[in-house]
Amino acid sequence: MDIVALANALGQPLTQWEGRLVQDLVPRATATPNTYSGIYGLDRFPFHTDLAHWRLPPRYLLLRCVIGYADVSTLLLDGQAIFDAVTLDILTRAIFKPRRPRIGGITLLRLCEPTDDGYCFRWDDVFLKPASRIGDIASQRIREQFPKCQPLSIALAQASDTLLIDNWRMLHARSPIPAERVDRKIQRIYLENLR
Amino acid sequence: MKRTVTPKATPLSWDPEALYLKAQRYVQHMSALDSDDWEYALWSGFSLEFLARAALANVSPALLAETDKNWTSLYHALGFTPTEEKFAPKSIAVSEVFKRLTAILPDFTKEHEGFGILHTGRRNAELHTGELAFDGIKASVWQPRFYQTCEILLSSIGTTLEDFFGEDEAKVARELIDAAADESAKAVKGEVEAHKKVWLAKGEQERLKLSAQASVWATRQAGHRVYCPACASQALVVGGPVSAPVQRLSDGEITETQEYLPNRFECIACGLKILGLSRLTVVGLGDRYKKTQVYDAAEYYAPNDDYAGYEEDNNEP
Repeated sequence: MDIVALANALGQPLTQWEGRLVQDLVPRATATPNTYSGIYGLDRFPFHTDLAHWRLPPRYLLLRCVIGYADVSTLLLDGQAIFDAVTLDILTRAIFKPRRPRIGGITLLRLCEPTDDGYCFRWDDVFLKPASRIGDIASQRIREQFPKCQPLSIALAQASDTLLIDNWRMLHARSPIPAERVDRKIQRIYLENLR
Repeated sequence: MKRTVTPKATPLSWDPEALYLKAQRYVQHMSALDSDDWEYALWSGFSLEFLARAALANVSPALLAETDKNWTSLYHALGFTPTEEKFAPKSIAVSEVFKRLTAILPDFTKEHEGFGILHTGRRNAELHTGELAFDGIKASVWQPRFYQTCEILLSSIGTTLEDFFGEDEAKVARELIDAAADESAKAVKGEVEAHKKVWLAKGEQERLKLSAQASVWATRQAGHRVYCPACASQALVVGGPVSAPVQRLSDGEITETQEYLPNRFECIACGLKILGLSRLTVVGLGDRYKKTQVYDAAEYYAPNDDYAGYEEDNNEP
């Protein structure tokens, strides 16, 4: 089963998305500075929410291995640990803004937004900047939490290995890419919901 | 119909969530200032305006659009892109926002409308005239009504004082709202008048002596010094802390400041005593006050004395 069929079987893929439905993720040593590859190259990517600067980030992301390695992993961090330490009172009032205008304007965003079935938590230290006093406090406290957390490390090593991430709850990161692993290839699809 | 016209998403200018987040951003800026500061009141005016606009936009963004001169702002608020050259969306005046909210929200009364217009009017006067519109206005005059107005607006969009201000400030807000709503507290005015009559019946020499004693007493006792509403002598209010202490280090000394909400008043000159924030508010003594303590850095970080309750050590025979 290819990733599109799998995504359709699991839920509703995000079709009105600026890029293609399926994105190929390949390590790049250089890229434009508005991307993680442009900033971090083959180094470790920091923990983040995908498209955290969107008004509402995609709910799920589906990663499927095309060429993988056991020593290149995706790191996962449960947002619940951050909720507990930083407190919801702070996170729901922490106002941030994207570092650059999007669709002709800058939108204020909350780090943690109540939704019909829980919360949408977002974090991106690069593309989101604090825009209020509580935003500054939350930013500082979250940064203090990272060294105390124990992330889960999952390597998509074999072709067709698949990982489904709740992007509203889990933060994810990428481990560094050794020079001999630059042909790693992962496919990604965003899902609006699950069946 | 063969084809239905579908508008785009509501633009940011009219989006209730965007307006709400701006109001919350302003309120966070406000809370970093002292509550008796004119700038604190100014930022509260900004916040109230955006909260009111968010509440109206939550009913419909179209209600915010200025339609007196042309229809393009309304068209834009509905999610369409006007073709007008140099188009800039125009929204209704804030006084009109409050007027519409009074007609739409069942709990938003004429009193809230009046307060909203007065408070945002002061903000306009501060920004557009030579007037110092917020200087010299006691917080107890505007804060209870401010929080009460905010609470009704917040409730209309499904949020609470806690969501908007945070748990600590919401607790203070609730106390101020309850105190202002306590009608029975107004009886304290009679007590003040009675003490004033007795005071004026005393001879001038006695009044001077009692006032001088009260001044010394108020200086030596712990509390916040105020003037007695009955006899104008120096008196004290005391209360409980409502904010975390803030320490600043300067020249080897640590200055610790903390905000308190008063709950008790005493004047030893005329004997007037008042208990409760609501009664204090009625006579203009309900303002938050700041307690400042200065410590030597070494003293501040020194370990606690195990025998703090004992007399000082003395090894003299």
